Amino acid sequence: MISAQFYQLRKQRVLPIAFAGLVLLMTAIAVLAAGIDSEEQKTASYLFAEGAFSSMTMFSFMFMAGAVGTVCCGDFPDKTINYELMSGSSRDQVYFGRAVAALVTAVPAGLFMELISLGLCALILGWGDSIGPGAAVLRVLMTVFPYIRICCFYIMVSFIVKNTGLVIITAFALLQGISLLIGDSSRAPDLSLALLCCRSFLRTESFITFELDGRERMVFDTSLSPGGAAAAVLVSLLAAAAYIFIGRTYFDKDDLR
Amino acid sequence: MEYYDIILLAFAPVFFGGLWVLAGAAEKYLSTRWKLIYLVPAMVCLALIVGGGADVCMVPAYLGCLVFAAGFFREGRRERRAFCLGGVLLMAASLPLCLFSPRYRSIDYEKDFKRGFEGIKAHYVLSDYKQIDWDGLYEKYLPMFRQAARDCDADGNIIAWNRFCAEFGDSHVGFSARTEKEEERAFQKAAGNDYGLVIMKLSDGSYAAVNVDPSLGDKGIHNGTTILSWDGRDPAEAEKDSLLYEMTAYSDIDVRQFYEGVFAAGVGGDTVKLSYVDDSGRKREEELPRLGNYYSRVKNALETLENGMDIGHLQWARVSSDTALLRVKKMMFDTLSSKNDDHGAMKRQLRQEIGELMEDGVKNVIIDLRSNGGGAGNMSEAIASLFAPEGKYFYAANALWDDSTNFYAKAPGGGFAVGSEVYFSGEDVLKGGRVVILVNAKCASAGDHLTKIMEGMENVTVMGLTDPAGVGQGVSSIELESGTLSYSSSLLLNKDGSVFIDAGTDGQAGDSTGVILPFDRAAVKVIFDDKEDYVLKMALEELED
Repeated sequence: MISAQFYQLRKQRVLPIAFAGLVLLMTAIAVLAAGIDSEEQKTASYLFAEGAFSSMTMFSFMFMAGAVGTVCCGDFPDKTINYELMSGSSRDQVYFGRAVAALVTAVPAGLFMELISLGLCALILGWGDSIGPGAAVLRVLMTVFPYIRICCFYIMVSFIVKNTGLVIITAFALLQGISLLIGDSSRAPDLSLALLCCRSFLRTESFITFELDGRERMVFDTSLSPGGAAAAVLVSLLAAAAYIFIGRTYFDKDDLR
Repeated sequence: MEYYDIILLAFAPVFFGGLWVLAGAAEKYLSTRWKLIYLVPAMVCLALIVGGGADVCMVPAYLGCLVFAAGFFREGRRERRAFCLGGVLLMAASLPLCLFSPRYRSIDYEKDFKRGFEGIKAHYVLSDYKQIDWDGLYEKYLPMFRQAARDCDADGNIIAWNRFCAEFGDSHVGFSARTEKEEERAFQKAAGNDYGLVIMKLSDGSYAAVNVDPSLGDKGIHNGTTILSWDGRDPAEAEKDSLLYEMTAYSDIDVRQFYEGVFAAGVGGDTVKLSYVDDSGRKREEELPRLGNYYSRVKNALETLENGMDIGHLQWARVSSDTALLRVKKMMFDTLSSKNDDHGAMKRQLRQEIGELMEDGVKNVIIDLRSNGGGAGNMSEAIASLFAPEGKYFYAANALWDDSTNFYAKAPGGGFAVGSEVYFSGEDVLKGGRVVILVNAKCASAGDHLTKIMEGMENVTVMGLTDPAGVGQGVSSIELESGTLSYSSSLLLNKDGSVFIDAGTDGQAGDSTGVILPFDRAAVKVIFDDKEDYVLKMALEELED
């Protein structure tokens, strides 16, 4: 089941093109934000530390929605799933086969989107010294847990709506809705949403010192709180398990119409 | 109640009613999508938590939403209806908790303190210079915040923060509550009782009553009456029992000594014993009853003492035939000047105004910096450059930043390494005229800067009842749930690498008032009885001399 999904993914072209396009878009936005060719051009590490990449996680989220939707919903319109069930595959095999394939595809892709755009920014702008490259990569790698969480959510949605486009629309609507709810001052706990969890990993605490001639210096505290990280990992995995369980329960009795 | 919580609890009967009816309906429909409606309460709950945050009193409501969701996993009508009932009962349990528990949406003051403490400990730039005992402070103050959290005591939290900040001996370290009303209430709670007078120390070391309530007149107590003891104790000793005393920071030891005893007259029970000398020279002892709260009386007394001339910011007043006074209430001109750090427009305006005044016969200028809380150093530089005699003057040096340690670099011989130096040029706009700068203990920060850079100039005299506040570093702040904590974060140095203005462990700030005016009974009479500007009077006499 899983191999079949990978075979289908290797044959289609939309996802790789979307991946490349979004990486370039993220890089372009970051480079523009850095003020390239201006006197106060920011470096890649500065952009990362001040949270520019945390606000671009929505691109990763949208790509992952598309990837999960493609894997999980692709076989509903042509009734391939119905035939699989009729040919003797269990609901568990059908569900978890696609869920595993979706996770294995979408989560690394989301991570690589962040890492590649960060790397391209470093090549164009220079890395700088606001945060060490190792510390930055570690923070990006920590987002694998909220990414697993959100992908499991997309898997649940996929088996409910059974349409790739609807999964993407749902992801977009949720991102917009969350932005509206959060507003300028967020009281939402970081652990309440995968998006907020990601952002807590991809931004650092900062403060400003200034000089007598008005020049300001942004200083970043790049240490990662072990307690906060552990809580984020635990909540992400629990939420992921809950979404998978809900999706499986729904699919168990679904009449596949 | 928070309106997000009201919305969630208002949905409880809707969820109950809708899902109760659907419990049977879901069985009749072949499509499984109907079951998803049992997840709606949990989704609404999550959305409201994202919008409004979570609270411990709402936990039963959150659990209730999860209980509703159990209907998604179970098929039977009776089971689903049982879950509906359980869910709505749990949600209803949150209502009395939210309405009656003092913990509802209360701030965790202990967590707030820890966050603020970690921030200031990491970034306070004078930590070594003032030899701050961080462990000692943490041990001393954590229990106070823990108690405030336990009692949901907002006033206790503000009082604890102010006591904590006063330990630094740095007026730039301070805590502002979320609203003035909260701050006022906490200070009133800390102030103690009012017995009808404020005690102040005079230049000769004796104590005098000021801002005396008329009701004490029949006891022979009025402004200027010599006070011998407060409840049997020296006022400087008695005031140490006052919370207000512990909440007040002084950056300069001379300023602290000026204000010795000022909080003593708030200490006591229903009555206090006052020893004083009446007008006939006789020593008397009277029992004074409590009249109310001490805060408004001491605040009024200090405002009377510390007010500058009551005209607008950057306004002129003609105070004699050849002298004009420029009131500078804060080091801020306009948003554009602050944003671009360029006070050229202000200089042009002042230059023009001074020119017009000089054509009208003005030779001298008094710059009134009293209670100037600071602002842009660039504005201090701009004012100084207008009035300074021609020549080049040193302002201050920026400390060198070390990226590897994320802190200021230390010099090989001790102290801090000097980075770029800032100079300015004087243009002697008064063409030889005199400048008198009026300061007081509330003249701080950029006000301290102007005092420091002009105090040694040949045409300048700095006058006041006290030295200025004695704080000169750049300030940052930490936003906490219960307020804002500010602290010195950006280092400025003298040419030799020593800290610019701020006092170290010796309590001596680096700027001073050239002429300290005597605070005697004559001054008390002028200030508190005649309600006149004693400091300005003395400044004009100085100019005439």
